[in-house]
Amino acid sequence: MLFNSIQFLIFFPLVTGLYFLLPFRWRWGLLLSASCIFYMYFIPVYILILLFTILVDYVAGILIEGAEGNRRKRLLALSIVANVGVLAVFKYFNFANTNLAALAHFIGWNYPIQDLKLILPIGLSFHTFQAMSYTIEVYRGNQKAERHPGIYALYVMFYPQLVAGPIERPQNLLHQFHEPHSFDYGQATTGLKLMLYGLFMKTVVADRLAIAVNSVYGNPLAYSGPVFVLATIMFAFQIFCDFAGYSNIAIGAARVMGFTLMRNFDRPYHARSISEFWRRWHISLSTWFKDYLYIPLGGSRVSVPRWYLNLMIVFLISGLWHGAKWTFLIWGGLHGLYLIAGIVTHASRQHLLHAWGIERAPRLHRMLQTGTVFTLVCFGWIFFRADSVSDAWFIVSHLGTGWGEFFKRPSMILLNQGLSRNQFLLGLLGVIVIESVHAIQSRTAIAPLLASRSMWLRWSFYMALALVVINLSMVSETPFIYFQF
Amino acid sequence: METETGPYTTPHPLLSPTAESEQKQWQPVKRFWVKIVMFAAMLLLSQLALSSVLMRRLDVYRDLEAIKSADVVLFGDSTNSFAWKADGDKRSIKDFLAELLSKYKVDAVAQAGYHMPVFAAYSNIMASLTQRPKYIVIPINLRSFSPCWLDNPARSFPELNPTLQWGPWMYTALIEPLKTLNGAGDSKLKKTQAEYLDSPVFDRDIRVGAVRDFKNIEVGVGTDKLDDAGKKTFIAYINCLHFDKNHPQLRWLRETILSARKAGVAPIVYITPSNYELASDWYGPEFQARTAESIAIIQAVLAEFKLSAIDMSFDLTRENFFDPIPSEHMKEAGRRHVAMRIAESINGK
Repeated sequence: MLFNSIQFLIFFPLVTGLYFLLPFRWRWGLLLSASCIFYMYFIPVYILILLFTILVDYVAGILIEGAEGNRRKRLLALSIVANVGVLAVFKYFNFANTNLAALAHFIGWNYPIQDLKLILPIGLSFHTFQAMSYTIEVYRGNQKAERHPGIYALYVMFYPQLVAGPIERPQNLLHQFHEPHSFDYGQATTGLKLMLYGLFMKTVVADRLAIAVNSVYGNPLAYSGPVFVLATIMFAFQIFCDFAGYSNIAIGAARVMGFTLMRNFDRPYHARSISEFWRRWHISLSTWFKDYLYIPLGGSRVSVPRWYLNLMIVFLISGLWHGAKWTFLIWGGLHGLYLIAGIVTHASRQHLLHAWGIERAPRLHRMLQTGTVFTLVCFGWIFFRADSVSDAWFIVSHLGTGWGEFFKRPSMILLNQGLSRNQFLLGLLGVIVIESVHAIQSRTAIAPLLASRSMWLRWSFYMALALVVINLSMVSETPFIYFQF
Repeated sequence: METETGPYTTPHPLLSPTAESEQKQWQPVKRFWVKIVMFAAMLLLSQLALSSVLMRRLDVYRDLEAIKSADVVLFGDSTNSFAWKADGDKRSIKDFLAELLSKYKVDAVAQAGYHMPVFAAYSNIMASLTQRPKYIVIPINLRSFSPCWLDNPARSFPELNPTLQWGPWMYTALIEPLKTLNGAGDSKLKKTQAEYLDSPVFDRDIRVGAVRDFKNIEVGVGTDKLDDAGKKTFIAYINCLHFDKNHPQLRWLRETILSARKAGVAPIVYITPSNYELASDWYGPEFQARTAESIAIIQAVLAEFKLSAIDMSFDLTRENFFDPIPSEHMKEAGRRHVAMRIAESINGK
């Protein structure tokens, strides 16, 4: 079920209303049933995959808690293999098989293994990672094993964050299902406001920008440098608004029922370094990789070459997490390189800043840093968004073309991307609104700021936002981008 | 010793600590629902008010206003207004007709592409209008009978029926927003792109391929590279050289005429001129015979209503058209000719 669907418009108030009407002891059953219905709207039979991982990790959690020494380690390994195995079959088998077949063809071998005809279960990487975080935390002794199978299933399947996160930790989410939530006016209204803002980000901004982005990236041969630059910047905001919009709706929907989910985005394009970008972008995944991969590999407390290798491993796997395609792998590799280059050049950059006196102009320094990070991130998005490595390479190698024409007739070039002038301006306005909200957020929290205004002003603002969502949303069949991961 | 018992010794149930706490528990819920209902009501009112302005951007709104205020409504498509770049007078057929019928108010309801169900839908809505035209002029474009045209989702105007059904105001206020939630289904007229591309193409009764086989021949761009056989098949693709009285276009034509008559509006039907000379060059001389057969079928359908189409199919020579393929887009003289023939028909009534 999509958040921006008529089904969810009925489903959400119904489930929330029933949640507060039912006695506490039945609430987990309601939420679990609702989550099953929510998931089965996509491909019903795939719920069996979820049930399999839930069963494995539920049993593994209890057994790990009771085990000692190597047996404990073996049980954890078994649980991880089961989870990664499901990912491997559904997400990575065809990718590996296609590449092996191509290699075999190249060296003249007969390669008889056919691709599997499987559709990727929606949100597989999200709930698999959430399930894995449970067994790892039980293994580390940070989380008690959950004895109630229904509550554990709910931890994996909680519908607001089931298909696209945030990827929760058991310490944050699991105990909340054991707590009776009574209706909280403040939580409910805050949740609804977040949902409304999330819808604005997705249906007004992201889906509008998607038209231009899809048009350019769908047929790169027809365009040149200025349009590639514009489309890539548009994609940077499309993917942010799409995914942060989803996260806002998820966090808001959970909050209405009294649940607190972790923050997933924190003004990522205001980051002043690539490492800061990753502390602000898809926070639940970045911290997952940090806690369960980067630190176990040794993090930065190892020799310098090993540290660089650890960074590269984490980002290559992060790239693969997004999809079984070379473009994602290159995107992850690029971010790994950015971080390593950032570390290697740190001293010389500091020296240059000092020599040029930029240190004495903090605003300019901040602008330079933010601009550089945004440019590097956008360069990475080219590989993330392109349909193939050859498309990405075509775009990268043609970034310098067409600028003469652009300077002669800028509007002709800028409007040659599939959006009419009005739609382009509306998309641009949407981005300005989002970035203005970020600018305010960088100085003060929005919620208390709004709360301090008169009721008429607040209501006018919410009313205007609702009217914008109702009237300026794009009719689009674009699902949330991160569903595919 | 008698102890005090009875209703005055125990607190009222509504004032018991449990009831009080329950009351406290439900207070925020009540407050929430009161505010939600207030907000929803205000939102609905604002949306209705805003829609009364936003609806003006809809073609349907403009078209309905035209239908309500005109005496003669000219249905049509791009042929009505497309002008050749060297035309001295670039006015549309509607403008020329208005000049010729000075005692009538003439307006046009013309979409970007020809689609008979559009005419049927407008004709159907006329009965519900308080002001209606005296005449509607219905063009019949023979090329529109071909699968490459008829089944094209881009030419099906799926928003038209729900807009007419709900009216521009309610459509803008309620139905259009639901579309963003995938709640408002497309019109039954719309085929999917895949179904469209699979539509078979016939040269009379011989199947020569499917729409997808021809889609890479862009009109006026790829056609110059076609050999003689390719040109012949291309004409079969952009025309329908063999159909019967049950063709969907003719079913919609019947519906258009019936609805117009029910609303007390007189239908005038004409068959659009087309560049038959160029089509004959590409297809062969039998093109004219095929066209004559098609016109006979159309006239037979119209005879059911005691009507006859003004047949302009062979009226204009190739000099009157400007497209590089055999089409209906006319130069100034052609548009004037069509207006004149329609005016003659109306004046003769």
